[in-house]
Amino acid sequence: MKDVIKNIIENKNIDQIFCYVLDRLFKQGPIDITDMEILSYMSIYQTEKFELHKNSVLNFMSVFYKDVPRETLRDVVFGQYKRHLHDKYMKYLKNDEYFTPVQADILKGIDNNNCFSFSAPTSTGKSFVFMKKIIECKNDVVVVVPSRALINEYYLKLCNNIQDKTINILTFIDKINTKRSRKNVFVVTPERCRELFKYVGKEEFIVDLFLFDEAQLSNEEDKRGLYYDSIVRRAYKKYPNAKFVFAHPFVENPESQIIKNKLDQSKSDNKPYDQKNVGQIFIIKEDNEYYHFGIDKEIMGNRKIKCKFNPIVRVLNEGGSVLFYVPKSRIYNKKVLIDFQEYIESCKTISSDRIDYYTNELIKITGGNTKEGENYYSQMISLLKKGIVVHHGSMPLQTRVLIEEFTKEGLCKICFATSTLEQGINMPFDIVFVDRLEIKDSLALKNLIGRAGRSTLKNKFDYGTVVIRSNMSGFRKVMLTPNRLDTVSSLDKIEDKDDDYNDFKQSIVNGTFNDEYNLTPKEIENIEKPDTKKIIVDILNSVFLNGKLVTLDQINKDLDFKLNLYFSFRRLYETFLDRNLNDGEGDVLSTAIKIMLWRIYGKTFKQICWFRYSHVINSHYKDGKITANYITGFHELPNKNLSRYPLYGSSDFIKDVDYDRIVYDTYDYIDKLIGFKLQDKFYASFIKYFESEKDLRAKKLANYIKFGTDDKKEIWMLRYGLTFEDIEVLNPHIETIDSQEIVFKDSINDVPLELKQSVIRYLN
Amino acid sequence: MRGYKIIDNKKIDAHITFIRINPTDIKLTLKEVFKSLSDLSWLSKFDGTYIIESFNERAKNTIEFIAENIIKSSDDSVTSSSGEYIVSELARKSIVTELKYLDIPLAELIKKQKIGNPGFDFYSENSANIILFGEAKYLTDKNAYGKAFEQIIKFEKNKNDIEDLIDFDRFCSNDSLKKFQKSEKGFIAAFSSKKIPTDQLIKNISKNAHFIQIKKFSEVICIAVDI
Repeated sequence: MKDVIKNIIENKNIDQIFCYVLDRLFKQGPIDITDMEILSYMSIYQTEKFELHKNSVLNFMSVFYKDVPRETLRDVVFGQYKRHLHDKYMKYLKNDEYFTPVQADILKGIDNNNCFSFSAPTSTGKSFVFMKKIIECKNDVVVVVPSRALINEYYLKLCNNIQDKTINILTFIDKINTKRSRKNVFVVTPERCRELFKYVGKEEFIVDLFLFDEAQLSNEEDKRGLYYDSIVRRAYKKYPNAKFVFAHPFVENPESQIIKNKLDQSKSDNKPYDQKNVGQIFIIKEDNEYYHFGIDKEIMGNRKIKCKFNPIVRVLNEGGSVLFYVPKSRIYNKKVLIDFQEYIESCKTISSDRIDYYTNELIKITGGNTKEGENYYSQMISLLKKGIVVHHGSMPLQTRVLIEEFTKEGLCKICFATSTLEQGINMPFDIVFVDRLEIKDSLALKNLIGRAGRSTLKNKFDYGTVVIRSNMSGFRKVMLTPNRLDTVSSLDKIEDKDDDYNDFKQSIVNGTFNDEYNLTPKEIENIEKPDTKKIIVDILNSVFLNGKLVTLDQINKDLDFKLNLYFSFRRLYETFLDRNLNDGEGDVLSTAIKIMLWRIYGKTFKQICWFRYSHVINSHYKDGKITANYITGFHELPNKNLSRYPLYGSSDFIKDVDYDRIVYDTYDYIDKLIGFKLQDKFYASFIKYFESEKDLRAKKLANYIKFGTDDKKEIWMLRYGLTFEDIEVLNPHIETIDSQEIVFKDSINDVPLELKQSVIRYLN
Repeated sequence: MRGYKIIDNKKIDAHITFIRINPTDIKLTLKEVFKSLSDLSWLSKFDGTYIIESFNERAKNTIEFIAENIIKSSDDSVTSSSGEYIVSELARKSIVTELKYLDIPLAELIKKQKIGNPGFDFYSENSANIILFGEAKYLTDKNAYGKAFEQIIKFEKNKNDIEDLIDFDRFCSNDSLKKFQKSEKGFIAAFSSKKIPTDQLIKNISKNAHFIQIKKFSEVICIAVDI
């Protein structure tokens, strides 16, 4: 069997090729990338003949969620197995639901073992199994995912699937609603998972199941990988009777989790699943032409074959969707709109109530508008009306959720996304276009292109298309090379990295890491030094007058006072680093402090974006042109080599100031710097000071930093998952709230449903 | 347990045999074929417990259902496909037990070739070391010999026999392989037959144009299965 692509296109040896691939599919299952390529090409170029074999193809693939008739005795073999699985797992399934063999096997692996680690391609439908298992558990379930974006995705899925109000679905480990709930489902990052261990004795949670999804995170060589393994080990030690499940994408050795964390192998099992539910074809775009190429040169052909149609335009014309993976810089500088103009032009403006709904929701969150040429114009929002969306990790989480819902609803035609997996868009498209091929992280690349091909319930063969722009041979190599995870944990490796990492690792290994404050013992020690306490007192004396926070106006009207306050916070942060910040770092931190203070003073996200944008465009004239004001953009801290550099400055004209860019930058500050780094440190500093000095101002400020409020009722509402926007609406209708329950006033019945979605699970 | 009875075993010519079979237990044959197919599918390796847990019980119901459809001459595709397997397997068995020819499993069960051409359904080797290629056809409403002969001629012309040989040459004697190289080979046409007298059936077969073309080969066996 050779030159298959060419032969299929030229209508040669078609019966022979069908016979070959069907036989393999029957005997081996849908595990071979080349078999799936062949089937995809057949379905494109030999539509009529494919139709004759389609039912056998789908039966042999065992995509049992499709309703496929059986036409041969060989098909019957699979039909019988489908019924077997349905009857065997009846307690999990509704009448019209079916498990695929892989899904059933995953369930079996979980049921029969204490630990089960597996890998499976993107379209396996593992979350369907997880949902069933989560619902089945009598006691608590902890789902650990790598990012907040994934927490959100799981959270929404769980809320949709679990109607039972006696099950708490929470994105933090917390004890709430205890009077009404019988179990909790926690969806957390490894960092949030640590809270689990602070409950002891009678307070302890009873966990039946730990689900570590995208568990390849443990392979990361930074602090997160280290932390991940420590969470696995601690959970395993504290909950020896719970089930532990590790799910990965394409890795050859899922047993690595069991080996590296020294889990009991006699009670563990692992399996790499290769079965695919969708096919894929591969195309390279060169000089504005598209060429087919196969992964296995021996079978599919050595040379690329010209594709007689433009696959992207075809998919768009047929109502399909295309995902373009592009560098974030090209989204920021709008180059994507020029580079992919051809496709953008084929997306006509649609008028629909649903698009208006999404547009308005995005406007509410970001404060942007769709009036081109006016201030606060958001191109990101404007593009929605053409079915074009942008998706990356610097977009506010709420907007990402809306974009994902927009896509799920079938409204998205083109999505420009960055390839950051953890923050990335996790949904299938008809075409995945990889603009710049990064083959170094082959596991990540496989995961990305795994999103090409939507599996549907229709009685049809589903396939997706991957388009690349260069390096065909590198791409083939990636696809044919198995990925392996390390079998030795970073916790057990002898390695010397920077001080920050070393201190962190030592505290994790020694068990001295402080879960309550998320700090190392050395960091705690620094907080308690007299010099640090002096800084804390300075800050408290600045922001409190007669025990009350001074107003924001008071801070703003006195520049020296404001700069001193920022400087005090900077000194406080420096105590954690044990060094002074350089000027570049100082600028970033000052901006972060400014944003943090705005939040303390109750400013919403869009208000903060407006403030920053107004500052930039609060223009002055230079050489007869209107230029922008200086504003410092987000950078990761600490970074000794960071130099002073503006996001916008006097060399930019205000017409070029992009509101979307301000939105993304502001979110980066809030999410990556304040949320991920500063908040815990500052909270711990003030709360520790309160504990030692009993200064109530410190406790107040700590609460403001952590929750954005010092109001007990509001803090409880936040712990129940309400946002400040929800609180504004619902606070008057809540009689009392504590760890046991929310007691609502009768007036809650008069609140429209869409305004009380956040508490719907706590309502009778 | 054979599951069939030989009703006729006649010579049409010195090198042409006619055998007529009456299946006495379609379910038995179907069960064997179905079990073999299941064992061959990826599911058997994927889920070993299935065979132990519930395969037999389920297969019993499946087979009863299909067998009933065959008896009722239902014209759905599963019935046709199953009918063809029964014709293949009974024909294969009968030449092994009646003529004492070489026992080689159904083609589908031993196929290992990578080329993937559709080919013959079963094979054997006779006592004179001639390799025989078998083709089975099932039709619900009429005698299927015409289809079987036609396919044999087509396959022979397309050299499918040469391609198929890779799959089963390990079962054959060296002599037979040498003879095959010299084009000494035979064919078996197995087909579903309706209730007409054997003499009439043979008469009709003899007039078939494709049958006349096949006569030139070393051995020809016609197997009518009354199903």
